[in-house]
Amino acid sequence: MDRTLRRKITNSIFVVLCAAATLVALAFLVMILWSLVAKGFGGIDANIFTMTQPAPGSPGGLLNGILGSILMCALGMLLAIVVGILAGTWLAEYGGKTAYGQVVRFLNDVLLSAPSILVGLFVYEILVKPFHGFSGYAGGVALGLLAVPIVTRTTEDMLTLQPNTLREAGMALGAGRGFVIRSIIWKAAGAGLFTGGLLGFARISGETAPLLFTSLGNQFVNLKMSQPMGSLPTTIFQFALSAYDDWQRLAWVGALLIAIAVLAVNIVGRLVARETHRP
Amino acid sequence: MNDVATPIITRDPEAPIMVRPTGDLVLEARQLDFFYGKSQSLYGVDLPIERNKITALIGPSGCGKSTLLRTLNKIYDLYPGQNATGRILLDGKDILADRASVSRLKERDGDVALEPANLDTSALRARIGMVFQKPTPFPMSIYDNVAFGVRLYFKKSKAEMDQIVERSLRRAALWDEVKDKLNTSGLGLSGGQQQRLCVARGIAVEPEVLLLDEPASALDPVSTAKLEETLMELRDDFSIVIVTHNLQQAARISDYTGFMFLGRMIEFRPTAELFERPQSTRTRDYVTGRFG
Amino acid sequence: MNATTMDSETAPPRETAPGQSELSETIFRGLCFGAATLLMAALAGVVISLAIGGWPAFKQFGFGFFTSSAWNPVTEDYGAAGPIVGTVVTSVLALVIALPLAVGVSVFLVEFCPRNIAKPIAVAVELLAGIPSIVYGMWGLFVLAPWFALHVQLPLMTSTSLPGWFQAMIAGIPNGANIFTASLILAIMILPYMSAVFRELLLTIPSQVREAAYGLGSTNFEVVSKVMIPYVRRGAVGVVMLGLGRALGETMAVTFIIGNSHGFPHSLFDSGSTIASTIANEFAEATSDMHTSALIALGLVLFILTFAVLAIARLLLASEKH
Repeated sequence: MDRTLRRKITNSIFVVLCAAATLVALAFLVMILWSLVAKGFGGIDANIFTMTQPAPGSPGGLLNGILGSILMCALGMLLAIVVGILAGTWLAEYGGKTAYGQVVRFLNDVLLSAPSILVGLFVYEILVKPFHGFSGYAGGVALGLLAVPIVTRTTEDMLTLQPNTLREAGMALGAGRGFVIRSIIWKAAGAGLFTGGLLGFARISGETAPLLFTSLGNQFVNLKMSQPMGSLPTTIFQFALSAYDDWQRLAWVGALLIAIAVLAVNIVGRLVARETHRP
Repeated sequence: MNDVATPIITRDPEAPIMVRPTGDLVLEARQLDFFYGKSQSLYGVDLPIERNKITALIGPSGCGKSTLLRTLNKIYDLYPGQNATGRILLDGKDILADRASVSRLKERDGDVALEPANLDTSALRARIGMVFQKPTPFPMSIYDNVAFGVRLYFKKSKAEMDQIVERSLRRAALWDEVKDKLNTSGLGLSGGQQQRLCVARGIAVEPEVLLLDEPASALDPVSTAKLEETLMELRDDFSIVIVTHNLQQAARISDYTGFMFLGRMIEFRPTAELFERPQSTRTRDYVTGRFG
Repeated sequence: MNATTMDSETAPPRETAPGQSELSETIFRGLCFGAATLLMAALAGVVISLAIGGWPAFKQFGFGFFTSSAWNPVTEDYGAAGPIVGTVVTSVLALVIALPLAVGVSVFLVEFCPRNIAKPIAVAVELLAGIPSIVYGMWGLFVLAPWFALHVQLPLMTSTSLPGWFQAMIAGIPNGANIFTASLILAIMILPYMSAVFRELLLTIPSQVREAAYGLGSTNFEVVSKVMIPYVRRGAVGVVMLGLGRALGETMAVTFIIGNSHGFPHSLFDSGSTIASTIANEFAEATSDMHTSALIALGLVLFILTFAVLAIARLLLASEKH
């Protein structure tokens, strides 16, 4: 076969394959979202948000899981934001270029990609075993540990983007370095830091594995963080693997709720990022 | 204006041709060396700044004029590995207080007993302010931008602060343009307005000296003209040192000009004399545009 | 001196330190440093607690822990071989499936896609990355598994014209919960992540390089395969390892669909287990201290595995970014 023709045919096949790959990826997205909506949407009613999880066969909702997830995610985000912003600030403004800073950055990346179930094991060892009980605190801490490397990374990236002249201008007026960071640099990077928080939240809102042996789960609505606490993901886990139809339906509703929350957070994050890039 | 003082006859032919101002010196650098790590970029520079005058620093890229400016308010100590030796006198008191350079100065000037200024760096920067090349408004309202420096040092009532902000913005020729939007973000102003905001911010703390590093290089000609006008009026209350690569600008607005080359002060004289009758061939070549 | 708006009663002497003190500077810096160190401590804590918790099992079974596929809570005999094999096989298989797809998607978006729809598609693919793993797990369990059992396993099992070795490879209970489907789900999970990073890598190639290649008359395929991908070679390997690392540690998506049996899987369509799924299923109801310790020991193995893979990935990606 003529060489040019062969090259052309190879090329066409290649383009088609690439397009096909993209279609496959998009197809999966559509299929998964479709299943979520088809199986979960029909189950949404007022009960979901007002009643706790039921015994099989009885009416009920997901209130205990929803409230528990909200509480533990809030605790986790609080920890992640406080530690993450301070640590990211240290990397960007103080010690990031030193050898110790390189180590911290590297280990932060390791924590970022560590299997979440291992983080759960760690929190079990330090917060559950010694106190002889599962608790919402343990669950919140586990979630916080998963979110903190994201916040740290984003904070460092956003702060490093700020031009040095901004720092110099503040210090030229006589302000100390920390003062300049808090009153000028943090404000300038504000939107970016907020996005870091959103990304962290998006990660932990759907996390199941670490909660399995920290907060364990609770079929009743429990607002006491020192006791085992229900969460949406653990409820889904329990219900999905069960043999009961109505439980499985509730599991789909829960999955849909989580997916909506995560997608909403992602969209808000993108909008915020786009707003700040406007001059 | 200024009398033409007789030039100092120096022993060293390599030494700069300096005409020291006759008036009171608010700031003076003596035998200043500067190092980026191991490499030296300023060599024994003398710079006398007369009170309530505009002093310009000119020279080709890399000659050290910005470096020199940045030693005067010690902004270089943000960066480890950069340091200066020599003397910088603010109102006659040494702000570098570097013992190592004392013996060298003993030989030349015979003045050893110079009082150290005992200023920590922050207090120093309250007295020597700086405006940068790129306008750097803080991410806050115009009002808060101007008030920022003042709030570092004083607790003022709202009425007093309002007064200070208005006065600073008026002096920076920005008041009329922003008086109705003091609470809007400083980032919403045009480039020229932002730079004047930075000037207002710098003078709000009533420094003795205002340093400006190529303040108009990012501005259009109209904004530049406005800024130059402002600086000339500010001369009554402040002493101004301006680094510029725009020779016409230096000639237009400054009282004294120092020409630098490769880290050395080559010639320092009243502006008109330096431009019309430069005594060093290098100065002459630069101001006539033979190199740049 | 200058005229001043501050009268001498309200103005403090200029020689003293201004508004914010040395002390607050030091405290702030200390807090920031403390936070950074806390991060390190947390990671160290994870490793240490895994080592301590797993130690009894290592001591009891020694090196045999890694080679035995027994898992018997009654006789207190535990071996990690089953979960380890399951973890590695599913992850590698997921990578084999996902890699060509990820390359295809990213190349398509960078080279062939019309500009105005490229961004929305890229965003859609990234959204796929954000979906929590439990949702993948649900979809895998309720949609993929039944479909697979009905449309792939049954036809293959009932067909009589397949060679013997192939039949051995696909032997298994036709419920769709097996090593292969678990790998498939993992592949779908790591695909968007890998394609996003790979796309970023491709975008770092200077346009002059691409233009020079096209200018010589090359086809798209030749430019991509002979110029672009080699250009980002090291980063590409890094992306592969990132995907692998992610797949190794994935828990929920896999647990639903892998069948959860402890021994070696005997075929592609046989059920198995991964380290993560074993821990997830058994930890909360572990029957004894040794059981718990064995599970934690498994966790340590997983940690070392993912750490090694991810460390290599980061190094490769970092060196790519110069």
